[in-house]
Amino acid sequence: MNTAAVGDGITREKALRGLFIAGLIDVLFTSAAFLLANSSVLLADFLKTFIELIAITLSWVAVRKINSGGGKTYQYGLGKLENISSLFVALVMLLSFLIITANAIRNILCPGHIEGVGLWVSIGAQLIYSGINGTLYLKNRRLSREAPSPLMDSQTRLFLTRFIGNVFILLSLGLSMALAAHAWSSYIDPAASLVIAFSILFATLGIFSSSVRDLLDRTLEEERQIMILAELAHHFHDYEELHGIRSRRSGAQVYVEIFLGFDPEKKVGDVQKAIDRIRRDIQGRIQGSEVAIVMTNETVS
Amino acid sequence: MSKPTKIEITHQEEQGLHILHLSGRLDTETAPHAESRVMEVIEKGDTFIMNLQDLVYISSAGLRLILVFMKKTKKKNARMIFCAPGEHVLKVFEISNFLEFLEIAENIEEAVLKLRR
Repeated sequence: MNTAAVGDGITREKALRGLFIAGLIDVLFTSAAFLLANSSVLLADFLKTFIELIAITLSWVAVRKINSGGGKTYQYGLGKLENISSLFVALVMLLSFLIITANAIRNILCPGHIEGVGLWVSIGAQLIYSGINGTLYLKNRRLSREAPSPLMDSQTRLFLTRFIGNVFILLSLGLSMALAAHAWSSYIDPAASLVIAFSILFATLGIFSSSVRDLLDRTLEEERQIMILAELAHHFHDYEELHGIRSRRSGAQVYVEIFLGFDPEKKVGDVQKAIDRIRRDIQGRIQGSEVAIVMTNETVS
Repeated sequence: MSKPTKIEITHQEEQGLHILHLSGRLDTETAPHAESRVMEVIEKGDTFIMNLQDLVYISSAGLRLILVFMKKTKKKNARMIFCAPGEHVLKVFEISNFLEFLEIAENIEEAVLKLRR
């Protein structure tokens, strides 16, 4: 593991520690709110935040363990672990979706007005947490753009989802209380929770598909494939044959292998210079890439 | 039964000039068929025109193939001119730096003139 990878690991560990503390406080508030009120939205909110906290804790513990273990054990970085953690986060989010949906259906079938001091506790908490989650979403989005990885991506989505959840719960509770005189207002609570449930499902599908693709070593997306070819085209006269290109993503890292044939009359030193030029240009163009150029005369599929 | 391809390649030869007409999409799915068909023709001669007039789409797999064709023709001191690429194909060539080494002609007549020059 190189210095940059260690630095990335520490940054992620810090980000996850922040998420853990925020999640823990969130769980305390949501549990107090649901215990003191008769709202299925608040019950679902508590379950969702509790499961999210479990996911964050597991990710944090795993990253800490790897960071303290040094580079010898995990020379290819945290990529696969991040993919697995992201899959777990997706699973947790799916579970949240099912719980919220089941509660919403139950409350639509047996409507009742929400009441109790827990509503005021929750309104206060939602106001505070919408601010915190919104800020953390923006922070994670910036980190994710600077060092793209499935874990940062899933955390960014998670915070966006939570922010949307806060706003909707706030609106739901506010409207339910303001319109309590109308019988139909008892449907606001489950209806709002269904909106939250589907926003979670949407985010889950995105995390799941990207993590599975990376775990299965899918080749890079078209945009980056074209970047590689553009550099090979730019260095068209530096090599004699193109025998194959392989690529995969592992967490924030991108691995590219290019199999090239060279003029046998060329000096080894000149071939080495050409390889270095091509490698440097591709690595400069694709963020987080590690390019290996293999001299061969055989076609690689 | 073989899987239907989304590319059609026809070949004609006139006085040692090989003209290949590519029609459809050149992508991951169609690239293996296109590769074997075009390489077969490249083995036969030393002047080629690749008519791209009816090529509606090219992906990175198609670009890689064109790079391979160009390397093959260069290695045997042959020459290949690409003609009449559509707007999409030309744009892909442009952003991928392929215009740095590809010879492009507006139509087959212009390609023939370039080859005879």
